Amino acid sequence: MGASFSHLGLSNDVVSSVVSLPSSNTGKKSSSKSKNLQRWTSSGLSTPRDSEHYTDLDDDWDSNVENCLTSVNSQPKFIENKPTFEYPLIRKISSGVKSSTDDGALALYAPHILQEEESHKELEEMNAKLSRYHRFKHLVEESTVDMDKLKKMAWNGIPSELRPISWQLLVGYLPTNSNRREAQLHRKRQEYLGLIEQEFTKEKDAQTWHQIEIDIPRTNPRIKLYGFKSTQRSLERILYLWAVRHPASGYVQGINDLATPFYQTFLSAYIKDETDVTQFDPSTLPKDSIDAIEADTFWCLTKLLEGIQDNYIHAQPGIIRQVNELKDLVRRIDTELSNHLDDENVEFIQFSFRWMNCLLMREISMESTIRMWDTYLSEPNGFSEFHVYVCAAYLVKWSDELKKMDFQAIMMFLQDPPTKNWTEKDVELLLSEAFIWQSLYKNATAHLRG
Amino acid sequence: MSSRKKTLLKVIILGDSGVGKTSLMQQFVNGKFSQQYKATIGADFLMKELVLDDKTVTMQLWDTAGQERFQSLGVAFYRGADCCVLVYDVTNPKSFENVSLWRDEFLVQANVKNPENFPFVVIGNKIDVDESKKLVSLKKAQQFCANLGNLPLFQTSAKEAVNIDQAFDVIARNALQQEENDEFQDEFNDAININLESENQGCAC
Repeated sequence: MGASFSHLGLSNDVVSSVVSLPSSNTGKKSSSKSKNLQRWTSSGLSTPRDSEHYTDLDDDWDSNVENCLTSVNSQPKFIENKPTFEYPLIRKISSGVKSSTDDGALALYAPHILQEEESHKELEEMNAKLSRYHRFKHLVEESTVDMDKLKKMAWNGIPSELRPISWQLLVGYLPTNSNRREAQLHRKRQEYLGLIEQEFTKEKDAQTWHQIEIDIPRTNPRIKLYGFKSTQRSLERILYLWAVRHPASGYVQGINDLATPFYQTFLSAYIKDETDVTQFDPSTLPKDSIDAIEADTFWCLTKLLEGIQDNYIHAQPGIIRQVNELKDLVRRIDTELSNHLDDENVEFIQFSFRWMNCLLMREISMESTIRMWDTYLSEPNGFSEFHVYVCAAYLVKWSDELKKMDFQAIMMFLQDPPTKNWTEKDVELLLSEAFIWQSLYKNATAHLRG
Repeated sequence: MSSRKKTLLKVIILGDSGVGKTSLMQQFVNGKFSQQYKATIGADFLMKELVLDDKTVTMQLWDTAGQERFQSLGVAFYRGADCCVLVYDVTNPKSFENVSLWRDEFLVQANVKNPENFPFVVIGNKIDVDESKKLVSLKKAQQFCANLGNLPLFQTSAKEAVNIDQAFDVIARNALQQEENDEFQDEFNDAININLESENQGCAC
């Protein structure tokens, strides 16, 4: 089953004539390539990779290791709070699609008032959505999840009901072996609570705490969820704990943004289908659930930041590297635009620093960000490498407009691009464009840097 | 010739995180205040046209991030600045202590020609709070500014739009003065270069 780009606004013909699609074979290939690239990059950079030099406290675990362990002695005799484990495996599918596999159920969505063609089209879309949901559900419910398959499917977007478990699998927090999950989750959640206890009973690092405290009320201030005390206290604990356990970087503004897609997604698994998570006050949940959401968010954020930690250490070399890569890339993709920016004395760092520091979260909506992360989490180095191609696609999208502007107009435009109301389709088009750029230029970039 | 040229004034706003830099800029440029600003990352760019004694100038304002980690970015944003605004929060003594550090940091990174004469303006923000919460006295601030070479000082409230236009009027005038000095210096330098060239030509003959 080949990946289809037709729903992204690209015909399969166009895409396949240019690049190879992320089928499982090419997926493997590109992943080994990217490993080489990464090895190459790390030796070519003057800045050491974090794993070699920083005393980060959370590098010593990986759910993949868990997967390799035999299950002897692995199941704890008693699991406390058994009901809270009700790991939000599968919630009832919502948003207009019923979970029945019975084709007859689709008749429900064919109101006779609609004209034939329109209803046909809608029916087809519903049908596709439904069958996709079931294939996805089947995949994550396997006793051992096929990660290659999951990545391939998740790249094109994860049904929201299945996103919590899928993200936790993709990020490497949840073991692929379903028999191991309960014990692993229990252990990591207990560990988190222990660490919180340990850090919050001693004197706090005043500077770190002050910075986090002034940033929490400024985190997604327009989304109601982030105005609730309960949300703010959870984020405070997550960020502070991460900061003190990663002294090489500590808390850097923007990391607060990165915690929120995880938080919101994992929270969504604990609330009723019809409730909008962005309006939900988490204090109405039992403490066990809040603790679990917090712990899962903390560990997944930790995993994500492991891949981009040099974005936040002194002098932020990861961001500088990405900004330079973006500049090189745009020069190749769109020479005219690149020349125009040069002529107008626009420096890439002036507008794209934030794109890297906050992973474009300041430019697009939370919804769009979450959809984007489905893909990032499915890419071998989504947040550190693929993101640069996404930024390139994002910039050249405005090429025609930008080429008519002077320095001031360019800066004002890129300060506040008209993408806050982007729909899922817009994001998917951006991602597919980025995929094409990556396929065309990834090796070329590596070659030139060599 | 310089009078016909469009005058651009580049202004940098510095200060600790949370002192109200973004709010000051938004109040000055857009005349509004919001509780919903996100923390600035890197630097935001704003512009505003002003008329100073019949002369129209365009201010390019760089609203920077306050967290220390972003300081290495300075070079990319400070270069070519005509004035630097140092902001502290009257309720936060630490932010006041750091004003001189921000000044030093700016001078190092911006690579200005005459550090002693470079125009800084100091702003103590959030004067709308209760008297009991004001922990940096006006007197202390005045003394500090006098010691640094009589830097202009303004006490403002971005929230209630107090003293904003007055402060930015002085900022713009000082920036304009600086810009004209720079231009004069550049012309002076050019003249020297021309002399050197003609001398060389003379030798060749």
